[in-house]
Amino acid sequence: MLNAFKLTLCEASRLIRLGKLSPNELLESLLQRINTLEPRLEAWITIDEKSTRDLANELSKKAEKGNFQGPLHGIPIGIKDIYYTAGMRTTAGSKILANFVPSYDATAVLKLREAGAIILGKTETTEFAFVDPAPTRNPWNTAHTPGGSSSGSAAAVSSGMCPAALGTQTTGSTIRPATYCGIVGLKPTYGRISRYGILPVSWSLDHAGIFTRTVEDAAVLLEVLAGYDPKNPSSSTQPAPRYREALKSCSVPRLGLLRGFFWDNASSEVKKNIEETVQTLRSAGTEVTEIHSSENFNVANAAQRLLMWSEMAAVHEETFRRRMTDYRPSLRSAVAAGLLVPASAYLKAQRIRARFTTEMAYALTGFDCFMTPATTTSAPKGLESTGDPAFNGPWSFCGFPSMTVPSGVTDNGLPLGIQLVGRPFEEELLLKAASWCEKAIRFQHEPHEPE
Amino acid sequence: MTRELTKPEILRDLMTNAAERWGKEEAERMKPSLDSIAEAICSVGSFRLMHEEEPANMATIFHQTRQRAEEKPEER
Repeated sequence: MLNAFKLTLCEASRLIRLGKLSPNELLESLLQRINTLEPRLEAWITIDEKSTRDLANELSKKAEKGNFQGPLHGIPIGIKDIYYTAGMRTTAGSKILANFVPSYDATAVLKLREAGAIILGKTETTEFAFVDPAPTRNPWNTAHTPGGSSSGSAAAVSSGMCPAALGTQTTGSTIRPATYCGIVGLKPTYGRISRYGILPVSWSLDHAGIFTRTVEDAAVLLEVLAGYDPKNPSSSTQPAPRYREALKSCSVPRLGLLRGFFWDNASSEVKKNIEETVQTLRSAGTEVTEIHSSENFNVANAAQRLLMWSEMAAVHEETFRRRMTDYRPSLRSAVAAGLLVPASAYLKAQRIRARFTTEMAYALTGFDCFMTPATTTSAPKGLESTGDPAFNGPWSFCGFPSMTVPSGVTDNGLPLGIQLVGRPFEEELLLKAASWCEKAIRFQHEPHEPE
Repeated sequence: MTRELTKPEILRDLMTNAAERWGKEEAERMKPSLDSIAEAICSVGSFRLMHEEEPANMATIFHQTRQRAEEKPEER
């Protein structure tokens, strides 16, 4: 099939089940796409063409016999290079782990394999998912950052190199790059997806993240990935609903539009897009009520930073003593600085977290979700910075599920998005609201094709 | 009773500690990171909380949050 790389996860899956597309054909289309674009975008650290071809062949034979392994049968997926992949290098974008080959899969990777997915390869990340940038470029304009830390995952999905990818988020590492690259990003509730086998940045803030081109695709992936994992005690025992099925009965969402902090720190192009999007959503029948957000978002971001840097320093302390000079500059400084944070400041930040989480739960009363701009600006020019996560950090801090849906492009042709935030473990409602918004907004822009 | 430290005071203390641990040159190189941490410590330090407010525990926080969010504001 020509241009199979353009198919969404659900479209490709449906065609595979109907026998109109084989996993082999889909994989070859994606590999060809990668060969064309990779020199410009640098989204991948590792691709094992032979293994993926062998597996696609096996899955194609099974499909011919009507034997399907699971909901992701034959779907190639990219994995951020901080997830353990058995037999495949996991470098975290760092020279410290340049030759590290795990002997087992992260639970999330294992679940994908069990559902029939093909692990296409490992995507670029900032070093240890902090801020020292990956070489990846934004598919919409290669002079701009794709965001980070899940830089490669966002760029790969956006440019049609794979229909879906996994990332992570500790501050804004899923929602921000997804927005900068014009795709859907989902950061579920803290503990919704097991973190076993994911290299930690900060234990109490890390979340697995999902990148797709549609909300329905994100629902399919979440359904595969969600659930308790005894190997990760902080994963939740809350039952995981059938998210995709839930999307069949979307009702009009009640959105609380957060102003205040999210308005004061947004660029004029972001504000304009939010105004237009609110108008579009209201015209489609959505209830959008404005809420003046509390001033606590600034202190939430400060407390989030203290927790992240302290825990990150603890994660790296032993290695740092031996190999300090092998760390890239920002991470090296941040680990060193994190080791100096007083315990009393760390605990005050955790107390603020408890207060902030309660405040946000209370503020959500009467709404299905909060709505905010997903980012302060469109993707900044240059690759030195991965952009500002100020609008995403509070939701990593309180652990509430958040999503981004593309909502327009700037005059320069760079994508913008809205961010929706739901209650803990109410991803079902969040996905329904996101699906409703996706249908109302009808974002149809795509990155420029390579010449 | 002592007053809250200001950001420059917190930064000075952090710079002193960093110099002792990694040397003066490295501490100077780290200054932007230490400045960011000093700002965060200052912001967090000056935030007022009820003394009953305990540190968050991510294993139980959502259960507690749900209970407390259902209470009326004046009860919180």
